[in-house]
Amino acid sequence: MNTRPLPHQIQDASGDVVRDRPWIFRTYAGHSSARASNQLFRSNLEQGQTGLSIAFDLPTQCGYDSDDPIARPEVGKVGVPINSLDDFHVLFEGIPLEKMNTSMTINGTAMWLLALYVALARERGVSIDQLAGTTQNDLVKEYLARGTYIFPPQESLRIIAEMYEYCLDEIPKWNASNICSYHLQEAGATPVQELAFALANAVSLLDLLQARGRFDHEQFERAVGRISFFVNAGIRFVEEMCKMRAFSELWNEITRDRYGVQNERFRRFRYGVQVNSLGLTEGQPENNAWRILIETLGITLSRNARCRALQLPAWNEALSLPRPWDQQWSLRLQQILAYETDLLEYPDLFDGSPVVQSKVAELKQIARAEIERILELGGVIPAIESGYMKSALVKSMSERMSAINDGAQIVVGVNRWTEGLPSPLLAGDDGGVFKADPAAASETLENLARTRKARDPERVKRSLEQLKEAARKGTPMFEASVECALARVTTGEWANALREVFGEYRPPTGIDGQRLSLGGDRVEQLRARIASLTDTLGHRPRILVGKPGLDGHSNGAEVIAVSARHVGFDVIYSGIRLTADAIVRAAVEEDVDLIGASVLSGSHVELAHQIMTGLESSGAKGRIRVVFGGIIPKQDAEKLIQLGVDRIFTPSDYELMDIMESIVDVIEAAHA
Amino acid sequence: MTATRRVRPTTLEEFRAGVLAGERPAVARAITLVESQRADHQRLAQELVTQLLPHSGRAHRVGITGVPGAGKSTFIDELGTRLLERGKRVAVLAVDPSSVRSGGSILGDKTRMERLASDPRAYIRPSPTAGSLGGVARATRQGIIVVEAAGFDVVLVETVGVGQSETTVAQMVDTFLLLMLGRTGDSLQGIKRGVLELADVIAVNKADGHGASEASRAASELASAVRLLEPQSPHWRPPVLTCSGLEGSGIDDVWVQVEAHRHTLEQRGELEDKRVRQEVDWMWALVKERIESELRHHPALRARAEQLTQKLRAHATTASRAADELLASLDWFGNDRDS
Repeated sequence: MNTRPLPHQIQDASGDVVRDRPWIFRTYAGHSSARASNQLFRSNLEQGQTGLSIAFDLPTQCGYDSDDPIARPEVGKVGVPINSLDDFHVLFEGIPLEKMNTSMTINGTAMWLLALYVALARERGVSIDQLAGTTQNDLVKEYLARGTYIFPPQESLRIIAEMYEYCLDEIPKWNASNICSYHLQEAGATPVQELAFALANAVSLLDLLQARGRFDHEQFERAVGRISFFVNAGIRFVEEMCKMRAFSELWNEITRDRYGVQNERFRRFRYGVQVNSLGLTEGQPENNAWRILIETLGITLSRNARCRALQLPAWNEALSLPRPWDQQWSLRLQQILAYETDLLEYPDLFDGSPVVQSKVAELKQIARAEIERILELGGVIPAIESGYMKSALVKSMSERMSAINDGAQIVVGVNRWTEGLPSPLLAGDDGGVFKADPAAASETLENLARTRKARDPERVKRSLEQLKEAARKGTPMFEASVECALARVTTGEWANALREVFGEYRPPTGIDGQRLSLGGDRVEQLRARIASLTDTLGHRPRILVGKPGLDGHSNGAEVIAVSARHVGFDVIYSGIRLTADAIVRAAVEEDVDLIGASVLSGSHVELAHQIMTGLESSGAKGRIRVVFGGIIPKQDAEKLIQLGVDRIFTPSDYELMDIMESIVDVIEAAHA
Repeated sequence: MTATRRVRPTTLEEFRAGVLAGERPAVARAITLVESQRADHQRLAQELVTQLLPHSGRAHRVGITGVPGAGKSTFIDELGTRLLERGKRVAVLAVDPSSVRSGGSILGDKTRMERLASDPRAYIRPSPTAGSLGGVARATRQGIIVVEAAGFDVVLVETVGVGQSETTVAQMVDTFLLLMLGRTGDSLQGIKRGVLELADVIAVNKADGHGASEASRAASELASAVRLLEPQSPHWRPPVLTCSGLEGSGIDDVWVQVEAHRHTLEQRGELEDKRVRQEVDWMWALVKERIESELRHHPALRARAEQLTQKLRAHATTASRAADELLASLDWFGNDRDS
């Protein structure tokens, strides 16, 4: 205490030399049913995980009950299904809410899930100011990349703003939203785009909170302090570290200069991370373990830009949803880094490095210009509605794919060193992938039926009316939502009530006017083949690219649509969230030659079955060919072929021209 | 590959029966047929359309145009849904000049007409991508016959308000509806005066929220602009209305005017005249297209044209003398001129 700490030592507030506390360790988890997920959470907590990160299934995220026809194939697939407060009681059984830091990856229905959490606390007798955690609640990136939006942008931002206004004093330890750049990188964003889009998003939100005028300046400063971010970290880890430093510096400058935030604490850039999934490969999947480790270094090495919370993907995510063991392996990485290494003993390692300083300055400068451009358009809402941001992302993604295709960007095991010994990790009984329990959905459906039967229908009706009235009048909707939760209103009922008032939104797809930069002999050969196919058919071959079901990860489908146009197909891109029936109908009415369906949520078998049945009953089976793309395990691929699907494309089919050639083959064969 | 039953109409009779029974797959296949570039398909298409002709003509053919961003899709979705509620059957065909190119294309986004697209009583088909606007026009005209024969009683032909496509569409419909925007400041928004002249009904869309007052201001400016134009029919002066496809307000009034227009034409006996005139114009347009194409490909003429081009380049002749010489080298004009 008497000796001054040396530059390589960290001191705490009282001047003692200490070791840093590690970040929060999370594992993104949830599947099958509330009961199965509860068991998983409890076992993860026993393993040393320090915060919950809940994955909800797509019907819950998109505001449908589990028994809705569009929801059925997706129940419990990518997360836990939550239909009502009864499910929440099961999900959190034996877990003390007051001690948990709970992160919910929930957006379109974020207000509803937080209302359920608050209602659960009330029924348990826990004071809500003890609740801590995050609702992701960033609709901007949903419109751009992830797809689980429900309402139009204005209304979505109103919901977010109301949640900030409610949480600030009622649940002060709750992050009402998390500004996400994570999904933008997954959709192809460059580091600069990640910086600019996320910060412009945060600025638009703060501008809105200011304009609504519900906060005085003291409250507003605290609200600024509640803004947190969810960021991605890719394989170029030096640049990624610099990106994080640029984020911190830019946020400090923006909150100080644009909003006059005096308290330094409220200007701090607080962020959680999941490292990149986009770059994880299906081929030689064991290599992904190294990628995850390296990407983790990017957001932990620099103390001044270290994440607050971290969740890691699993090595086999390009193959299927991860199994508990795969997640445990990733958690162990965090624990080794935090507790075995000396990382947490040192202050920032890069302060004063001219290389890092220069790189950070460059990123900041370009990002600032881009932020200005978006603000000149009027902020993020106009930039979404006009398709400006989406087009920029689709362009970056197309460029990335072109670079991998022509070898300018090396991906080990994919376009270089592709020959390898078979991986013993894939040799287990389960083939190294996760198998969902098909019976889990029926338990969820039974619980839903039971809830509907046991509740007081008058109270349900009344609470939904109050919710709609608040929505119409512009008064706060949160308390009304809590009352709905207590009345055992269901997720679908809550969302439908607001759909009635706000309507549903469909954003621009961003693929119009996009071009691939790919050229060369392959492209010319394909164009020639398509020209001769055009002579055979009498029309340019027409394909419909679509995403059946609720999965909103549209990047893959968009790149396919752009590539298909590039080589000369006429493409109907029908966007996301369509029923299999709607896709079949569009295919028949527009008389396409082939349907390309993209599914990443794991419900490909059900959806393929529905599409093939639909084609059969409209007499088009056989004439309209079908191909599928997505994360589709081998065993499932065989099932799809049996159903009559011609080709299956998985993440290992990264060569766009190979995919296009296959599609031409399929159409040619049908007319041979 | 699984062997499956092929339920595709292949013979003329199968096409005819399927379309007349209003079977969706048959209608879709028939439209692909009339769009086809293959000579044998075109012959079959001619035969089919001729046989369907007696069953067509009963629908109200309405063209809808507007600048990009005027909210056409939302408007059509709202209008179409209302027409379905009144028991009408609605078909939407699109003419998109941007689709006229040699490479592949992204076809019109049906998801922008979500309710209509998911209603089994409606049929939506985007623009064909043929080699020329003329080719698209041929396909769409025949497409109208097909959907009419299949029992649709309102045919909406949508086109984006750029290039020549508005004129093309105006020449194949009974009523031409122009959608405008109130927001862009300039009341005529760079839309060509010619398009205003084609319009039978004008609606300023997006009259919602903050746009409402701008929309009504734009509407009154447009109304005075329209008064300066010579009307197409002595009995009809194009009305200017405001509406909101998003909120659904004013849509019914627009449709009342669209129906009133047709009713007026019918009462005055102008509808039949208009349709016949369109057919005759179309015949001559086809003749012109064919003659020009034949001339351009005529070997002797091409050689002569090449020589004349050289002379023009050397400033050795004028365009009108060159045209005279070129025409003189054709027997069927030359004989007349000699005598």
